[in-house]
Amino acid sequence: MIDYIWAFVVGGLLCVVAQVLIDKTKLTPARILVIYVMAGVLLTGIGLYEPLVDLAGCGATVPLTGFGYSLAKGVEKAIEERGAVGILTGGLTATSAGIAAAIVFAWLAAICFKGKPKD
Amino acid sequence: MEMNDSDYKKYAERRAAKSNLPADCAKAFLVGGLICCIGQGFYDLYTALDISEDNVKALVPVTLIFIASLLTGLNVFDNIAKFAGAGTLVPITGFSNAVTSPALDTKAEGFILGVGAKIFTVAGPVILYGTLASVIYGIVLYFIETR
Amino acid sequence: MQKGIIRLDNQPYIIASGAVVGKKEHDGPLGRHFAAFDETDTFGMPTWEQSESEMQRLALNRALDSSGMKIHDIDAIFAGDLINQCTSSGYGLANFDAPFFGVFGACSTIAEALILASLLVDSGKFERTAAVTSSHNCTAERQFRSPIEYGGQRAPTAQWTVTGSAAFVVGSKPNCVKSGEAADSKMSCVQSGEAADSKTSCVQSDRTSDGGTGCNQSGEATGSKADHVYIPRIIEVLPGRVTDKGINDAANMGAAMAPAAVDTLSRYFDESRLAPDEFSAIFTGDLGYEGSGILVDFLRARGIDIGKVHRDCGLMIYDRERQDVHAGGSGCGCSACVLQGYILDELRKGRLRDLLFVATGAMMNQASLQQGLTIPGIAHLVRISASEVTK
Repeated sequence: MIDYIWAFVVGGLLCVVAQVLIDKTKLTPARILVIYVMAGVLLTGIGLYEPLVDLAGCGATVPLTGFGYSLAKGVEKAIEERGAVGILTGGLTATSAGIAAAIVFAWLAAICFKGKPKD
Repeated sequence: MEMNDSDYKKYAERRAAKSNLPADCAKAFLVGGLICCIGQGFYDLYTALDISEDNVKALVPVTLIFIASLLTGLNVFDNIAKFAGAGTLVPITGFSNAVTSPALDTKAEGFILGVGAKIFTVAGPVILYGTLASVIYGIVLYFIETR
Repeated sequence: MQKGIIRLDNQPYIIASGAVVGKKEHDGPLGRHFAAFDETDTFGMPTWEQSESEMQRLALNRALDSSGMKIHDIDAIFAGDLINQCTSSGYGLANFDAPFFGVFGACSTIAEALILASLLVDSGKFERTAAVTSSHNCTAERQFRSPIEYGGQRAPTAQWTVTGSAAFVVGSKPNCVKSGEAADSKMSCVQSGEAADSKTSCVQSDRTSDGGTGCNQSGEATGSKADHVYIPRIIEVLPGRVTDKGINDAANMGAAMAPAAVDTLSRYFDESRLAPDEFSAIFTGDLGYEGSGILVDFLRARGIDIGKVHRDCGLMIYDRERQDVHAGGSGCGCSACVLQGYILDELRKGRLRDLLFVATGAMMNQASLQQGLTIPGIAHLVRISASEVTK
């Protein structure tokens, strides 16, 4: 149960930070997401994000900073396993499932559905 | 009341209707937290099904991406997002919606030049700068380790 | 010297008009004024761009049919919209055999088109001209903002692009061509229309609410009680100047357009020496909540108090609280549909006598915004009066 509370609190707070950026600055959502991914890589690199993942589980991996975390962890692992080439292969290898899934489901959605006017 | 451009800009910003920050944050917190908990639920479910940890870690985002993509196709994601704001944007659901919505939208221009070329118009920057950041991190890491 | 107010010697008549709107507009406070609408906003077309074109075709057909005119009675069409290269107008009016001028003034386009249409009629070169504009929420979202299903939050200052199209016929004489089918064609006007193909339209028509269109109102439709009718006439026009006060926030177009409206209205009142209260109303197009407040405050600071008579089309077409449209409506269809559905109706019923119609536009595109450029605004003024005509 405690896992879920931490996931809720940490995940929720990461969203709140972005909401403040949306409401208080002129940053567009696309810019905020870019900042989040890069922040995820940076925080993982300096060793701050791993403890958060240990604490909050999906509360830290599901937000887009977690995407950055996966990229960084992937690079770490790939460099360890295959050396310099890992610099290039690590990030996308670790996140390939998510990216491929997004592409496949999006493409299928385009086949099956049609947009409707906003309410 | 005559004013120069920069004064006018400040004046317009000052009088502009403001977002209700506390309410927006509360909604983002609730929905964002809930999505992470759903992710955690799938994590525990897949673990209970004896799936390896590596695969669980890949399957959880895939599941959330599927759900968000489906909700986008069913025309409900944008309504949830209107309420939740960053609550649906920041979790991986926002990434999924950012890929699915242009795919749906550009279908009219064909599957190559429409869907094919435009699918990453919104999510592209995330992939580009995420990958770039990871490569920079990799270079730094590599030189630290081999020194 | 630069020309200011242009007084039209022959005061051309707005002899017919017609409009079609989307669901949200029909659900709005002016809904009963919009007889023709489509529940799905598609107007039976496979893509949103085609839907918008179809709306223009329907709107012009409704205007023609309402007064029993045929396209051959029209000497020229001035039409515009928001989509790249004005394709909504080009495709929508492609099958009408009439000289065509594409015009662009962003959301002010209907006033620009009416100015040109009335000037040419006034000059005597043309007998009847048409002005048509449209906007569609989905085409505008696709082109200017984000994909339709994208989950984003709109800023509180953002405006909502109206799905709607309106057409007006300006003529040198008050009477329109009366042909035998006039009365019949009114009932089924959406489906008919000589110039266009005869495919059945999906547009619904509330027959009970008469949109108030030109000669029907003056003719059989209103019965024979009144021996005089009111017909709207264009008395004066004042073309706007591009005004840029440095706003670069596309989510606050009201603030970007307000200085243009201030410029046009100050010039009008300075030159005409009239007072705002001498008009039944001053309608601005699409300044929304933000821009309207700025306009009233700036004009007041210049000693022009329009507070009592000012109304904004962007605020009239939606219920801001109930319909979640933030600062109000916008788009080429917004002020055009309010003019057709509400303002002309009130003029024809004699409830409005003399008014200023000031449509405003924000003339940016995605590239200009992404390059960090500021948003230039424009405001065109048309003075419309109800002229009493004895039958």
